[in-house]
Amino acid sequence: MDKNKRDLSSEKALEQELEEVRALFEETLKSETERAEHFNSEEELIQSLEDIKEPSPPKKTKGRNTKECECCGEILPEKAFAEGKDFCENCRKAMRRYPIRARGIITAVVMAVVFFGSMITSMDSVMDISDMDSVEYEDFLQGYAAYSENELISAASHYSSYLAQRQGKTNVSMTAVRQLIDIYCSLGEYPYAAQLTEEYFSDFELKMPWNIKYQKILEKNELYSETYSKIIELLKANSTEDGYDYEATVSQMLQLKSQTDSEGEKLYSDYLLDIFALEFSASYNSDSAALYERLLELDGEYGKKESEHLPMLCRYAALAGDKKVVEDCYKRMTEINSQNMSIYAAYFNYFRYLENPDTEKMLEICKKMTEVSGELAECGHYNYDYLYYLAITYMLKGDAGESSFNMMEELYSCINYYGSYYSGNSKATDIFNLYALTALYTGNTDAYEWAKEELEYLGYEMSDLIEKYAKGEMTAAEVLADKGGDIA
Amino acid sequence: MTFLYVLTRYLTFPGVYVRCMWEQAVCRITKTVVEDNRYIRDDEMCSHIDHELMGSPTGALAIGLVPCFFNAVGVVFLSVFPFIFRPSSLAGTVFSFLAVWFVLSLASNCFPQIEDALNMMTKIYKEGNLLQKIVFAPFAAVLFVGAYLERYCVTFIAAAGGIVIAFIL
Repeated sequence: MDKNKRDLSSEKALEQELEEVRALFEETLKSETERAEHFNSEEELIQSLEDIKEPSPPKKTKGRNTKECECCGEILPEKAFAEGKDFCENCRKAMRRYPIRARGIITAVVMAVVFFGSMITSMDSVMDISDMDSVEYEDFLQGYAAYSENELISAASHYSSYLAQRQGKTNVSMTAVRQLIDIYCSLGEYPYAAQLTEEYFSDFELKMPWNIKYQKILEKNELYSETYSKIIELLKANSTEDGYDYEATVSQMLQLKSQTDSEGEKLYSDYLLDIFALEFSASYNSDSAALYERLLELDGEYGKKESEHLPMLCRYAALAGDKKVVEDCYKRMTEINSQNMSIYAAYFNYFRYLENPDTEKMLEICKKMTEVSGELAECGHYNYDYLYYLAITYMLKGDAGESSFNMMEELYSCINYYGSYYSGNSKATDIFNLYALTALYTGNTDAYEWAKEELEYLGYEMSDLIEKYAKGEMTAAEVLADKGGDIA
Repeated sequence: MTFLYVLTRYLTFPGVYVRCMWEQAVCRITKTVVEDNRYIRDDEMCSHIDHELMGSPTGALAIGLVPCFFNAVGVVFLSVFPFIFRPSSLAGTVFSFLAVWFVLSLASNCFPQIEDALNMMTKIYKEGNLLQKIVFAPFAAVLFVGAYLERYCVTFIAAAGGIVIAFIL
């Protein structure tokens, strides 16, 4: 029954299709006949017939149980599709073998080339690091260790020694160079920092954004050089037969300061002028309170960026008995450079100038100074300040006068042995005054007389305080507590 | 968000190409139908090829893990010289530049598409055997979380941050 029904419907469809074909044929024949009448020759007619495009086969239409492939557009029975898939099996077969795009492979190859390129260009550094155990690197390793301990003078010495042995730019040598430049900047030695920068960085490298720090160092060095040239010219202009016209020099120095700040920041040259003016004032002006006040102002203006004024500020804070500022300066300075002897001396003086000197603390600072002197001696920088301060400490302890004199004897022999720093050294008068005091303290009048002669030989006179002590008008503790600067 | 996602893919196109290459390689090995193999496009399928979902737990894990693994290997290799040895010559600087960019690209394009990650979890935890559930668990967890992080550009930001820190250190 069903079969007959299906047969009938297919016959009907066939008849209908044939009818459509017949109608299409008749219509085409009629229109072409009409067209042929307009042609002049048979050739034209043939040509025009050849130009007629073949009609495309009638498109299959979607029926029941068929599905169109989303890839090729073929209408196929549903059986030709996997369950839930929109592509025919032929297409799916092809899509399983989709070619991998060349751009992925090319990129991977480029990455491999870059890897090998960076490996080859890093070979110097690789060899350098693999060779780190050799003797040549001892200086580098010591410098690195010292730098991480904020021992800047030792670090600078070791790094300089390493760089003198090592030629060329490698990862290790550039680490040494960068740290050495940082050290010179922290020590305020901009000419050295600039020299290293110019030696190890090309113009191209300096233009790179990550090297802007080094570009700024060169700019800062220019300011540094210009400022010092101006100061020297000024000093020449103001020098007289007796020395300098101090007040005029200081006021002219301050006038050299820029009236306008660049980008709202204080200029380094202004900072240098301020420092120099203060140091110059300190050499003639006894008004330490005014200087201290100015130093505090300077710290407020530049303290976040610069540190060269810290030892001076600490010294005046010690004279003023300002514990908070002293400790702040000491902490800040030792965090930058733990080998700055001036800061230890200033810190020592704070405890010395107390109404009841804290000799235990003074002894502790002297021990620290001894350690630092040992570190400095290892790299050829000799400093014996610890002997001077130990002599003061022992004398203030009052129980070992002999020790004080021995310290001064040792100090004298060290200075004598390692080279004179008397001539031109502002500390020379202090050393001889203290030497004389310790000599008197232990009853060694010959040594006292010798110290007096040495001072006269250098063009100075024995301090009034020592003379008073010799006459019994003052005690040793009173002499040492004096902030006038005879035994600073 | 899609704009930002697509923008970061354009910035890191080398990583996209390499990731998609590995993804397509996995499809070929597992005979998976690839419906669209455009690597870069302006929608959330950017940096992923359009393929049929994997039928097995192993395949579902592989489609996420293989590109991730190879990109990570690339990151490690390309990082060694610029970050540790830091060449200072001009040629070395140029190579380092490129290497760092490739590192950023590869690191930003490690993880699978969210749909693949979801399929992976379904296949492993609904159809996988006990051994697969245990062994694949850590990888699946990383890939699943990573897929979401990558979708929101977190991997790009993290990679860029990591590079900055590596340079500072």
